Amino acid sequence: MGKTSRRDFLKGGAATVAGTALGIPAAANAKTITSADFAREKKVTVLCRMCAQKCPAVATVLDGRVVRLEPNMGTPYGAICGRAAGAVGTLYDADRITTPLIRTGERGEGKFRKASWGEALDMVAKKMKELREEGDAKSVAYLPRFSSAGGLDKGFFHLYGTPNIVGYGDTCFGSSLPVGFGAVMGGTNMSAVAGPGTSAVSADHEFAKYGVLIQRNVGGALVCHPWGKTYGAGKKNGMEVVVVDPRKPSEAGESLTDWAPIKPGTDAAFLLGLMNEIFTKKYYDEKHLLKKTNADMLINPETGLPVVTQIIKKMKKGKEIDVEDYYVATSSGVGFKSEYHENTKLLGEHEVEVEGVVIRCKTALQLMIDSCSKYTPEWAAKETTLDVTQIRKIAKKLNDAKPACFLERGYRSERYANSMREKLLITQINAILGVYGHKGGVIQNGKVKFGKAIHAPKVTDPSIAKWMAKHDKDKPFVNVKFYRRAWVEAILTDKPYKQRLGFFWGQNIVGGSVGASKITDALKKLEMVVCVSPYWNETTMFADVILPDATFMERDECLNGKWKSPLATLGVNRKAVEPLGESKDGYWIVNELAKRIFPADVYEEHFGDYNREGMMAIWQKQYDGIHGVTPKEKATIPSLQELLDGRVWAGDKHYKIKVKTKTGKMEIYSTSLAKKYNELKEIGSKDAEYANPLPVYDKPFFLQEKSNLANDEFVPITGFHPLGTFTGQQTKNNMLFKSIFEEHHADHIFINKKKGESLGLKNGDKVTIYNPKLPSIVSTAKVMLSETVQADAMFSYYGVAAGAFDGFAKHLHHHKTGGFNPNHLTEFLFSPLTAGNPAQDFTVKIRRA
Amino acid sequence: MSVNMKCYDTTPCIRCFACMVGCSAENRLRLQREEHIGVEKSVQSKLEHQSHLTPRRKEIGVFPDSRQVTAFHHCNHCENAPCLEICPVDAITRREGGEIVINQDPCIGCSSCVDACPFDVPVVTDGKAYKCHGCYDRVENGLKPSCVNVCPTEAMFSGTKEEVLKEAYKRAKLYTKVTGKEHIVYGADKVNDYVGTLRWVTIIPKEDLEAYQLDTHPTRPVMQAREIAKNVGVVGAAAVAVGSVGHLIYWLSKRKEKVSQEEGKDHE
Repeated sequence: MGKTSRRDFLKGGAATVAGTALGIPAAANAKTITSADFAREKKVTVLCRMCAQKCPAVATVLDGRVVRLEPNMGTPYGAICGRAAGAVGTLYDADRITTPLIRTGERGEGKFRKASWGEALDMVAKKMKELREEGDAKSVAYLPRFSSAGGLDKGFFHLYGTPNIVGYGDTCFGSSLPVGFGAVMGGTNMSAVAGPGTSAVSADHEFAKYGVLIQRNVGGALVCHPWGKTYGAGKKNGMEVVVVDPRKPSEAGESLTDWAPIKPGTDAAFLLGLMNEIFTKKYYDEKHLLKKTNADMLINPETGLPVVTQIIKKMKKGKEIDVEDYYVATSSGVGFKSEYHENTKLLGEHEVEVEGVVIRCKTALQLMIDSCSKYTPEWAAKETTLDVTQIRKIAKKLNDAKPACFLERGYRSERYANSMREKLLITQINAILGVYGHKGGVIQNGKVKFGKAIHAPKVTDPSIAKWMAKHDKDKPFVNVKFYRRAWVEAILTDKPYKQRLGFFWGQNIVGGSVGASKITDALKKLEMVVCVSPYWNETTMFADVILPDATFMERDECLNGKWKSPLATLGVNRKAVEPLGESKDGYWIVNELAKRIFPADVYEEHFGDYNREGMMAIWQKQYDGIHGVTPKEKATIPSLQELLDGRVWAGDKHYKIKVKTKTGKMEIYSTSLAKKYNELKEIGSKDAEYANPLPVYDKPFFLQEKSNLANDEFVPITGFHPLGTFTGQQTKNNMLFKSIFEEHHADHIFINKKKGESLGLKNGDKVTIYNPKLPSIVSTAKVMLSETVQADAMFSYYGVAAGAFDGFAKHLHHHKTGGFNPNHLTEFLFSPLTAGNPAQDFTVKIRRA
Repeated sequence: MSVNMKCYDTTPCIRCFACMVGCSAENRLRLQREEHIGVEKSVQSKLEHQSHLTPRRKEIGVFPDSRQVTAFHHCNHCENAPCLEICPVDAITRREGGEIVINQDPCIGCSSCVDACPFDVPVVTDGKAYKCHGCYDRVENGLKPSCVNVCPTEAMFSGTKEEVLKEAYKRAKLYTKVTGKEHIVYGADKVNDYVGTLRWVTIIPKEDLEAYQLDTHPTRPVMQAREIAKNVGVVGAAAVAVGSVGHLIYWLSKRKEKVSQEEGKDHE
């Protein structure tokens, strides 16, 4: 009997019913795999770089290939996400850049020829050497991402002589968070915000009873080690959450997770309504406010500053330090806080006589309550389109749970003109509720610091950002570490000095920041653009030279001690397999450039050890200089060899918060911001109100122009897909993610169903999207009508679709051109004062394509 | 050996899809180990039939009382395993730990299992049927199933039936207490006669059973027809089957083909 397919057979129908001779069942053999099969697997400890977070993982190598990534359970928060689980798809992506490339067409055209390493490195080194010899090293900017040659690269560029090491955090939350958080907690130099860092604190999800997920989708913006892990543990322990988001994300939880479907850009209004309710219902703990905050500080309402202060000496960790003491009111009159401690008045108006003049002062808390009084929950409900009972319920739930509750501190939430205000209000409310440093509240992250491999002499030229912080009155709070868009402005304006070479290591500035069209103009203006990357992205299309980088699985890296984790953690990424094709690890690339650029003696002094000993030269210097942990913790750190063999070390959990203000208190009323506010008013800054230390409402740009959007008009909000990444370089072309992206229509735009239907749209319709202020750039995308998107919002997964600058997608076999990336349609705008990246603070219109 | 069990807990799950991607990756490892298809080759294609755990996402409710729900679609490793019962060539076996496994070598791709499965699980690609095999290779060597291994939040956990049910009931009790909504462990008790209990159970608010596409009456007519075939004879069964359960006939045909092949071998 010949082979019969099932379909053919069925056509034959019952007439062909076969005989009844049924024999003995054939033995069916399941594949039997023995422990020997698993014993052949080699394990290599890595720190996953599928996104920026370095989750400790273990790579399995079988027959010379990485075949699996799994969490490294040698740490208390061992966990990986789907991106890591699919890392092999990125490693073996056939469209990876694996040879050096040199541009043959125009910048942006994406035409390249293959080159040898020698040719490509010589070309870059020649230009860099020329600029250095001209005395113009500062015209070179280095734009690193998490994927570069840590421990060697920044030292190389400082040694080269440029102050411009330009981080990308300004497009995440590096502009607003250091100011908003630092204003209350201190640690900021307000004239040039170095900030307490974006990884200062974490919510203690594990033990929290209630959480407000605002500015952050814990699942989508996923950091499994430890946030995802602890969030899951919290949910498992019965933590309740409310998600304040214009789109309901599944990642926060699908059943029994409250959703506050807020109008885009109005988080600050919600927070003000919440604060008002907390004040009105006295949902604060008086003892906590008197002890830990400056709530009782007497403020002169005329100046906004503490009415009387003095510097006193205090002992801290065995050192004498200066502390700013301030006037407070008591039942027996006014005096210094240092005399009355907690026996002071929290509220009210009090007279203080200063040099014969009586000043009617108010306590800081009283001023805040007064300022906040007009922002009632009813007002907030109107502004945010939320239900007033929901705002009240959230305040009550926080009160019932405090201090085991939290408002999230934000993540990739540099979105609107008022982003800094949002961060400030979040910090103020958390401080008023007394959640900082408490179990189940918000606690300090730990980190390990290391010795340096390269001690470069200090660069004397000021960086572009430091110059701007001092001289650009629109950008006094610019972050001096994260300022890549301020750098673009410097290219376009030649201020403070000309920029001539951009050296991008993994950063995709065109895909990942606001104002792509201006940014591409800037890239075209540079004399040379160098990209080091294993992946194609929008920015590589503008490169003169592309150097093929290794992925994390293909290289050894320096010791790592920086995670967004409450536990100080120490680990190292080891090479699992050799780099694919001709790609090379970053340390090799830096060393080769150093050889070509620096005089022999300089090279020998700084790179000689690395050249002879390889990574051990860096590891040893780092290890020998370990600091930043307690002596007790330090004593438990394993030997360097143990770390290199794959051990991940973690310190203890400390329920504490670092307060670095001059008063030593959490300044719910920020005196540093008050001073800055006065200065800004004095110079007539149009943006001064954004620095008001009192709770006030700053509207986002788009709401300053109009309060209601037209029916075909939307605010383009984004969120990470759990399998997507920042601009999607590592994940766009990965076939292990494809089916899930497709099932979710992840490259579509999502709008409110009712609104979409009123526009005559249905699921799958193609629409064109444009920004009326920049109509020359048009995107085309497919639409999904959704019940889980607020009416003013147009949601798209960030970094999934190629967008308007989609030339790079032609290099990828599994990625479509087109779709929507809001960054491609924005004007080149800055958030006030912080020079932040107002990624969603504009509106787009849609038309059926 | 005790029966193995897996549990998916909808509450701590952050929908990161590590389980689903991990499953797909582990099966590509198997292709390299057993079929000598290097992982660098297999990752160039989606290979959907190698993803044994997939999302089925839909929206429920009307704005703002609305949400997305991601149902997890997977083999439940039924106690009564209709796929195993119906397979004409005995390509489906039950491992010692209870995992129901399709063995691709003997599989003839007849789709009987597809028709018998009330959860719509097996897929047939290039003449072979595929579904979750419970990572029995890993489990029998002391490892966790791949989906459990990579889950960051312990939303997916596994062990012996006793261990898993103990933990699952503990969690369901806590969630019921905290939320005031009854949480159940779907599949822990007999779902119905067709499938019995399940070896992949799910912790879920009872009111969400339908939202998560968890069937409380899983059944397929095909098995009833086959029962008739067994009892009243082939001709009668064929009469019942024509038009609706044609695969039964096919099953018999294939069976004969297979048997004669086996007989042929004996003579060689």
